[in-house]
Amino acid sequence: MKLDSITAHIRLRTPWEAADLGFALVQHNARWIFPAWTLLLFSLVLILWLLIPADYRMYIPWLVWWLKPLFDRVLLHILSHQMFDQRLSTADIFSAIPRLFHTTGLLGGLIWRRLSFSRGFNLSIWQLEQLRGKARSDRQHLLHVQAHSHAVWITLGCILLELVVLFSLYALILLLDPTDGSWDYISSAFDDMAETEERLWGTLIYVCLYTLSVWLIEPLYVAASFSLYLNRRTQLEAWDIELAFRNLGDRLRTLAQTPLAMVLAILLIITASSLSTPPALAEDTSESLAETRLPPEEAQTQIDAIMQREEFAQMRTVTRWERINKEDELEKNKSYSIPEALQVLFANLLKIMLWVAVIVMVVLAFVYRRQLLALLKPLQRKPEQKPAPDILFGMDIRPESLPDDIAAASRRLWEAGQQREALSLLYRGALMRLTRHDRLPVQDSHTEGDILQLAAMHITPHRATWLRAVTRAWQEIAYAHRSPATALVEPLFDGWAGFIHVPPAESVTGGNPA
Amino acid sequence: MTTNSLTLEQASELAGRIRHEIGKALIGQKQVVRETLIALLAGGHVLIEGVPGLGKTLLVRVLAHTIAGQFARIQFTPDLMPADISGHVLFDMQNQRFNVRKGPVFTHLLLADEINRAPAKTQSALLEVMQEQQVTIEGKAYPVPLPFMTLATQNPLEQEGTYPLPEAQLDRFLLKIFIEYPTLEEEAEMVTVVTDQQIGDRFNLASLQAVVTPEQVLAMQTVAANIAVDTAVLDYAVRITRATRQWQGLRFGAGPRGSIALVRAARANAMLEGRDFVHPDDIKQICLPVLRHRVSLAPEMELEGYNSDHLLKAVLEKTEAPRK
Repeated sequence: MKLDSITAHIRLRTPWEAADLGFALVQHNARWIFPAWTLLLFSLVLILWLLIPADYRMYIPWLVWWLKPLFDRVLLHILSHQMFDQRLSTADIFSAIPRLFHTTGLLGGLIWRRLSFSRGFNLSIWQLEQLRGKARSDRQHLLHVQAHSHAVWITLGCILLELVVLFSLYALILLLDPTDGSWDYISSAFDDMAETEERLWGTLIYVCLYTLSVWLIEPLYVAASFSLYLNRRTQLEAWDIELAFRNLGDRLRTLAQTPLAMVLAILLIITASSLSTPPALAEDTSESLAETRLPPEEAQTQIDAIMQREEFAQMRTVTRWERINKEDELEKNKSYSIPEALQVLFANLLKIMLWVAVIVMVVLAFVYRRQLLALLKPLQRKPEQKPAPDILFGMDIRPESLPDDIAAASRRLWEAGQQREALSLLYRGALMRLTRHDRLPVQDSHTEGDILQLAAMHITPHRATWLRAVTRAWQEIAYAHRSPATALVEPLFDGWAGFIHVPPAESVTGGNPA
Repeated sequence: MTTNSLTLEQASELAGRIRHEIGKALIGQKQVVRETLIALLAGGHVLIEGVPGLGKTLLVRVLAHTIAGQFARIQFTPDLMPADISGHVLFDMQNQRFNVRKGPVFTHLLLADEINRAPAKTQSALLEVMQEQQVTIEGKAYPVPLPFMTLATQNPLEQEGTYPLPEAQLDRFLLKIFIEYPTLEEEAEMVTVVTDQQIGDRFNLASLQAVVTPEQVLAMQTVAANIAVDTAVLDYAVRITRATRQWQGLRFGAGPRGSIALVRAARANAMLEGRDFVHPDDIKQICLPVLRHRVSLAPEMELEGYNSDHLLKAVLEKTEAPRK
């Protein structure tokens, strides 16, 4: 690399200034860049247009997008020569293309490195430095240290610029189209109702506009990335200082060739040496050292003292994220052989497909959220339907254990002097009705009072009154061992029919008694 | 109505009158009044917990006034001595003999205010009188007037520098009652009653009548003690108490005194309702105040914000009702 012949003014720039320099480079050298670039891009699009069947031509922009790494290599070839003042003819450029494809890692660039956001920046390492394997990954890592985020932002910015150009061109057509044809075509793209011919024209316009936007933006992108790369190297390798020294050396060489200048120089040196006692330079020009060499310990002390000065003792703390597992990074940037490359390609494709599937599922889940939530509802709200208990308070309350006419059977027991059994049967019957027919969630821990409370919310006041009376009678005989009077019990037998008869319009709040 | 014996209806009616009379002074707090009355009828003592200013002292004063009994109040402080509660012997120089000066426990209703502010030694001075209803001074036992009831209060706030009651003493209380803030209407009514034509903020007890005598209270206690309890109900009370001993989340459960207290309180509850027998609902209704101070929560449950009432409700939900 001949730094002397570099056409740009090399100095340390901020990354955004460097990107601007790239844009300026394209503008300045447009007439050298664009003819070959235009020929390459449009001829390729034309070939694609001719080769691809009409039904699939709408995918040509995708192909153009995918082939961008190929274009980048050609553009970088032109730009790098321009930068060092080497003008390439269109023929030179086209003849270099096969070599570029072969030597710049194009396969990886088109496949698994295609989605890299710092693709433009990394390209210089592949193409100009021709590094491979670990050396390349080390180099890339070093160059990324302060430039990676800017390289990513340049990529994102250029994608957006491309879209802006594309949509602006569409808007321009819409504005300039006196008929509503273009608008109809655009709207028909969503309902798939376009005529074949209309669709053909629409596809053609789409291909042309996208190609135009790529044609305009891609050189800017490559130039900005290239310029960022040069700036990073300037930063690392002090190109600006080197160039300054070279210029100084040239100037001094020119002066030395002039006899008068030589005399003046000698005079100047003599005057200067007479004015300043210790000479600024040692006589031995091979080494610029002090007159006496200090012993190492003393020298160290002096060095330490100098290092204590303000200009050397400044410290600042910079915090940044560092990969813990650097092996992965190395692994990622490794060059692969073809079978390995296919494996990586397959794995990456699978990964992309999975991500696409995840995104699609999230979108679908959002779109069909009502239906999905409706599916979850039964799980959330369905109460656990416990089967009605067979035994409550030690009483068998299964319907089959009870006689068909409970009231009559109870009355018979009562008349036979079996008061406890009679009331027990009546209460069992009531519990059976409550648990089987009224679906009361009666539990083993519920006492008679709890059941009354529970029933009051579900049955009519008339039925609740009867139930209260039966419960009272039952409690009296069960816990006080005292038979209620027959006059009190008779209405309970009579009221059984009313208790089991549930009016059709019975509601929770209760209706008219049956 | 004779003093020595009362029928169930008479006893129940008297209890209703006491409740009504207390209700005139203590607006709202119906549950607190009911539970206090249950403790009185069951011959037990109550521990009342609530923030200051909810009428704990008023409740005791009104109850004492209503039953025409004596009332004494001890404000528990860290420097209170046992003799300050039970009494002591003084040498009378004039008569050259020892005189017994009885302490404030010799009363019908004793209000032990902020009982957890005094150290355990002083708290223990109440143990004998609560259990035996007598006080021993200089080796001689002096019975306290009957009916005797201790109403101790605790403040759930300001726990700094307090002495929590030991389990042995907590067990002596028949019920632990929570007194909550009154509702809006109750508070408005209370403010009207206390401030209307009143000087100061004390309720004028002169407007209340003594509706029973201490002798009648004793007769009511006798009636309550004779309420029938079926073995199935008794078994239910015992099963609940025993269930607390193995319950997940309880450090320890209630002892046999818990079962005894359940049945005693259930009897009084049945009497208040004018019933001559206890049914399982009586046990269930009175279970929380009877057992909440007899169980101790495991630390992890306390950390999770549970209290003993939560766990006792779970115990009740899992304990089968009596099988008949």
